[in-house]
Amino acid sequence: MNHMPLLVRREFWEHRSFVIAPAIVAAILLIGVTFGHVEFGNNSLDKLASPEFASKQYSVMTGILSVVALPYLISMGFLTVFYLLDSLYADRKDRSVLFWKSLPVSDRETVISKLVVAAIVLPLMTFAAVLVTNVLFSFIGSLRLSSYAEHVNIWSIVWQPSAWFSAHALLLYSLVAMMLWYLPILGWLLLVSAWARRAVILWAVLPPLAIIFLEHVLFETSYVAHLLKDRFIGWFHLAINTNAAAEHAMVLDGERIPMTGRLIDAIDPATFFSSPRLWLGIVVAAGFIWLAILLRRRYSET
Amino acid sequence: MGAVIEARGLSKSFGTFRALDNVSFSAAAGRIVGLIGPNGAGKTTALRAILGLTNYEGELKVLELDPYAQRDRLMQEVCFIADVAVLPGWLRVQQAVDYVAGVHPRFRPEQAEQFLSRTSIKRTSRVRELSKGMITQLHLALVMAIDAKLLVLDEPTIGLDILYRKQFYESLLSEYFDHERTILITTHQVEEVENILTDVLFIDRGRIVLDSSMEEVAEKYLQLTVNPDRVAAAREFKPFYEREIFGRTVMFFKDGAADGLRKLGDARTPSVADLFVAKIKGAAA
Repeated sequence: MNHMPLLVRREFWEHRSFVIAPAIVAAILLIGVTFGHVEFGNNSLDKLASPEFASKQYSVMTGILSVVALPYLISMGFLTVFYLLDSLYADRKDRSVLFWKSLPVSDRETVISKLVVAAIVLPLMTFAAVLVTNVLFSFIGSLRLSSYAEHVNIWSIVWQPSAWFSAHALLLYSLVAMMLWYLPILGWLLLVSAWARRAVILWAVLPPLAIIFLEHVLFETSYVAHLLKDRFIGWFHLAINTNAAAEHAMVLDGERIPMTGRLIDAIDPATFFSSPRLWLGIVVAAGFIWLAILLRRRYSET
Repeated sequence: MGAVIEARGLSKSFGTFRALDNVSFSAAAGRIVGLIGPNGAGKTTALRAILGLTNYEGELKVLELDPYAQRDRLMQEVCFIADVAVLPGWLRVQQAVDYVAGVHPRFRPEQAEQFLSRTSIKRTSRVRELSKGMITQLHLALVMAIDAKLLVLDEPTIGLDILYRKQFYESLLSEYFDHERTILITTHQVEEVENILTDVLFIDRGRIVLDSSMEEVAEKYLQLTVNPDRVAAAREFKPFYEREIFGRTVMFFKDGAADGLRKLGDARTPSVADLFVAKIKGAAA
């Protein structure tokens, strides 16, 4: 019997923040776009709509649609970290683990269900939230802008199918790349959650910091620090060819806007998926998760 | 049917403390076994080993399965309430029913509904909004709706008022228990379960001090209340424990069915609680 759908539902019963957090982000963004102050200097809207900027309309729109994802990604990051640290710890703390363990669900299924929520369900929800927000955002934005500059065909700029496709394909690709790259971090958080008897956050953060410190004191090197830094930001340069992206930076109103415009052309799955660092990370993640399952089998009160 | 629980040389240490010290026992199908011992005697450790919640040394088979390695399979046949009030506060009553129904092939939701309908528990309530007694009722409703071969109850009625405690054991017997099921109970309220038990297992400091059916207890053990003038004569029969009460001496004998002995005072079969105290204190003396 496949328990996974129900186990995932269980996580949503317990963690209402999965729904509340993106709802708050959406509310803030939509209030902003509905009631926010709009001002354009130097007829920039007219400029953007003019023929010489036609090629940049796509870039501007992709950029705007992509930027909307940022607050969602940040909120998802916090949600994921706190969720995973809590996932195998909270039920030991309130002793409800005795109830969950009285049912025919294996410890492997339990641990995997938490990972599925963090690595697959939350990113997919984030993607859906961004898509829905973008539709509402663009609809409200087009309405407001078309009353602001009636002679400009705002609708054709805002609803360019190619920009919509690019922005959301890029987001989906980035989510997949991030989650694969961050798997060892997710695994580490699960391991700490299964193991710590208290202060999960400290146990998650202090050991790596202690190792960095010891390495610095004993050997005066900083390999571990570099390794960890790479683990946090390294995916971006592997997954996306930033040189190709930079060529498409645009100038508007005399200001150079480092636009993510044609990042979609710069996605580089070949480099990303052939990187040994990615696969090494996945092996490490598997080790952490395997240990978390072993620890979960052994009942221990906090 | 063979043994439901079969333990041979079961041991478990925490550091230098031996919570279970080379324990062997078995429980046959269709029995209601009371596992009785003082705090720290190893009851909980024994239960946790049986339920696959802890590893151990020695040999242990529950329904032919190795509990620690095969807990998820074992839990299809076994259900347990290990300590009360372990349902998480955020869980809603209806979610609890749905969850168990979803993961347990032997759960009968209509049975759980029937138990719940006799209580004042609302389906939409969260566990944290329920009283301690209601939480226990909910937990029991969930567990008793599982058609399991072995039911393990660890202090099942703590937090319940006296009316519901009686009702619980009555419904346990009349609705749940049949002669293929086995029930293992630990409780401090020995008097409460005494008349439903078929077997008792006394445990003290990690060792089994008595493993016996209730019939054997009645055959083998004798409690004799003796007036002061007969005490010396009764001591000739070598009681393993005695104590004073209201100026008379209560003596406990094993294999003491001798007619001569019975005439020395008021003879009766000791209650499980009295026998337990006598066994533990008698062994310590």
